[in-house]
Amino acid sequence: MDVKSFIASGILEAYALGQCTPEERAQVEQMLQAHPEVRAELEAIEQALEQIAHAHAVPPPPHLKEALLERARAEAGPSTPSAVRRLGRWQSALPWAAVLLLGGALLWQVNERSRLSEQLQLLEQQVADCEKRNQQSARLQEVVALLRDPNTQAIVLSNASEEAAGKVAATVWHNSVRAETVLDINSLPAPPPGRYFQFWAIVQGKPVSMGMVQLNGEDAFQRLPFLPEAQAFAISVEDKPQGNAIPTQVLMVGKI
Amino acid sequence: MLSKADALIERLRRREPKALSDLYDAYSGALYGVIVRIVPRAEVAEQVLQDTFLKAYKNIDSYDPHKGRLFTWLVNIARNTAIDALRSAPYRQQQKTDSLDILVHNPGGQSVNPDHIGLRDLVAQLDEKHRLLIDLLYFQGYTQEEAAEKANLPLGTVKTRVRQAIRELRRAFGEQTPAVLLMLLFLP
Repeated sequence: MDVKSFIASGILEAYALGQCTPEERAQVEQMLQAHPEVRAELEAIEQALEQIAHAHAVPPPPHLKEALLERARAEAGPSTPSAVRRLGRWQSALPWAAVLLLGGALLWQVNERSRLSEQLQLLEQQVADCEKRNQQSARLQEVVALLRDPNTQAIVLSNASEEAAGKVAATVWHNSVRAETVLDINSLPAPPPGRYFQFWAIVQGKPVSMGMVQLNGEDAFQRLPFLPEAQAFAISVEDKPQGNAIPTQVLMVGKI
Repeated sequence: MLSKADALIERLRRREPKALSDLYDAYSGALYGVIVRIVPRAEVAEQVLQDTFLKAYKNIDSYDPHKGRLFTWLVNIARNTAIDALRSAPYRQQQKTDSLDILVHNPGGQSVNPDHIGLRDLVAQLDEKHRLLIDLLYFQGYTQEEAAEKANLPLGTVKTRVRQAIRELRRAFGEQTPAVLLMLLFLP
């Protein structure tokens, strides 16, 4: 619609006076959005009417204001919580929300820290285990190399006493080229309670101690000192953990 | 730039308790002037004024500045609330016994807002036929049809004259602007 004839139609005056039908209102509001000159015209009309109203103002009785504010307060009271209260509560809750958030973050961090430190411990443990296994594996590799060597002799130590013959036996791998002697611990039985096994080499007919047998070691074998002049090996049962200078009771013997 | 009215609307939207007080200070006189013309009984008019402000305060979110001035919105609420009060059964009952009082009632002559005497004179200077229509439509809440009947004029003539009347006012206010601005400066 043409703006000029729209303004001239008097519809804006009717609009400002609250005299429009809903259809007319919609039409005016649409024109207001589309045409700044329609807006300006309406603004002028409204200002004129507003000034007339101010010119004819009648001061209400003074007590009315307080009564109105009281009613507004009452209606915003606890029975019908208004946006004022909701806003107030929301605002007063802000610092608490911040405290909670901060506390939560702190707690989370502490938790996270302890979790991480646990994980670190676990990892360190795993690394240590790994290292141990690596060393074990290296030792095993050496033994495997020893066993594969054609110069390695497997010496079976068999029972020295008549009555236990064939019951107790141990194996020793001996290689004079590599200068290595290794005892296979798995082949040994457990000693009687309070008794210990001592390993001996027989050199020129005399027993030379090569140390105590380590039954609770990490590996299933024990490396022994290499004595090139050894003629035989023996295991004795002793009553002291550190062993004795001379074998007390020889349990088994094997010749090289 | 935010005008004074815009700032007040913003504060009303935030439901600041002081904002209602300021709204009342700014517009209660002008609105009460309209209300007492429609509802002459003081205690009912007072009730209507309170209801008008409470409605405005509660429904401020439905006020759209793009669709008109705040005062226009307020005066429409006031007028509708007053007309509703007028139509309500208890009021009609009362009106019969008060009829003499209403006849004696002198429109616009109750009390004068001294700040606006200048403007008042301007309105008084309006052509009689224009003044009547403004009075009926704006101050007494008549529809255009009712005003046409009351003034014994065709509806089209009423529409034309309303437009002429407001143009006349705008012209008069335009000439008066510096004085009006001065007066507005001294408003509370």
